[in-house]
Amino acid sequence: MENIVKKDIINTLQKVKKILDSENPDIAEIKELSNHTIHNASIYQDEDSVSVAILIYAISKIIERNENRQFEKNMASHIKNICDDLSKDNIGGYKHRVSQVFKEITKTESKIKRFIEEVIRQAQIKKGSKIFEHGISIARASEMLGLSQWELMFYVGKTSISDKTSDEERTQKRLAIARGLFK
Amino acid sequence: MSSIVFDTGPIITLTTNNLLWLLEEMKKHYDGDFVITSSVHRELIDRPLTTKKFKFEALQVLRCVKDNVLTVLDDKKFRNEVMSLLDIANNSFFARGKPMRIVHYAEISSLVAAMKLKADAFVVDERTTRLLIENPPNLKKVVERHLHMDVKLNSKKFSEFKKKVKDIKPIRSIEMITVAFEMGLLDKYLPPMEDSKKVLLQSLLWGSKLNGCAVSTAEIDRIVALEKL
Repeated sequence: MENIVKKDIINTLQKVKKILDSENPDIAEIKELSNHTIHNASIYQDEDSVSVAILIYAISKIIERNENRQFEKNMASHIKNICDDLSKDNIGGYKHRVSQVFKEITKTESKIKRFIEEVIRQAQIKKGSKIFEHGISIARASEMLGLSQWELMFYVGKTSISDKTSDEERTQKRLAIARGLFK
Repeated sequence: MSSIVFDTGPIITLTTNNLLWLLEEMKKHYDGDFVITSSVHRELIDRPLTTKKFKFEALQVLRCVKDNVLTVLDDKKFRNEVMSLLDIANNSFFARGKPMRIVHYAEISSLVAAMKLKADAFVVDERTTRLLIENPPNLKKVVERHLHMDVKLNSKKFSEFKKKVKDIKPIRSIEMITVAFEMGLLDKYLPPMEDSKKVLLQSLLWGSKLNGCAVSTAEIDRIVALEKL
């Protein structure tokens, strides 16, 4: 793991833990923190930055839907342990713990189990869209998040990402090419 | 034999807008093949067939392949060229001294197919691949804007890439849809209201945008204005 990636993950997770430990966790702030590792995900395209982004986002959505103080405490405790592993360069321990946290999140009471599976899927799509926004191609972003291009395109189309790179002059040129193809 | 090569995105855009049938209609007006590579076939069909979502959409595209509306080109035959171009593209932009892997094998396989077939056009909806071909400085700006840091361009790699793709003519699915509209192929959808042609064209273009085609609101307005409806 690159040092800068490790540092950013620890930094971000410590902020999330601080929010989870507070009286009334600010869910919007947790959601925002889930984007902090996306820069590194776009540059280094490492699975750790991606999985942390998904994890934080999923935690925010679960708390939003189902305020559960015990869940928040459990997550805060897991995050502390994850940070400890990373600080000690115990990368194997870190990866195992992250995967355990995901398992714990999904192994929950059946009435919200499907919701949580959907939350994780949506988290993958949202983060995939962020990576695409950073300039990575849609196929590459889909591959990084384990998604199909169908899913990612369906979501990305409803964002304003395409509005930020307008090229009206070339549109006319492309139309001329297209017209010339068909009799 | 003439050909138009399609990347994954335009086929997805057409399918999710219930316009996949347009390919068969437009092929009647084109003296050549509509081509996808085997890697694109995998992304379009094989992959979603293993999931629940977009399974029926994948079957619709499969039907196009079975009916020979789309011809599949086995990109294993030119894998070395794809890997070479992929290496060039993914070593062109650097952030924090690291090369950014910005494109995927399937996208480059389509591009190489278009090069080898000397395709009349390369239909690609997604922004990154298209900008790499058409306007790399713009792609650099996009990356810099979102990473909040300088991105370096490897001039040597980039010149190599530019040289290889110089004859590629990229268009998007919305340009094909607009031409289909001009040809009257979509007249059956004209609504019984004022400005019916404008309403139809806007609905087609917005449908494409909302289903993932990288087109801006300004570009949609420009196309509608150019049509003088």
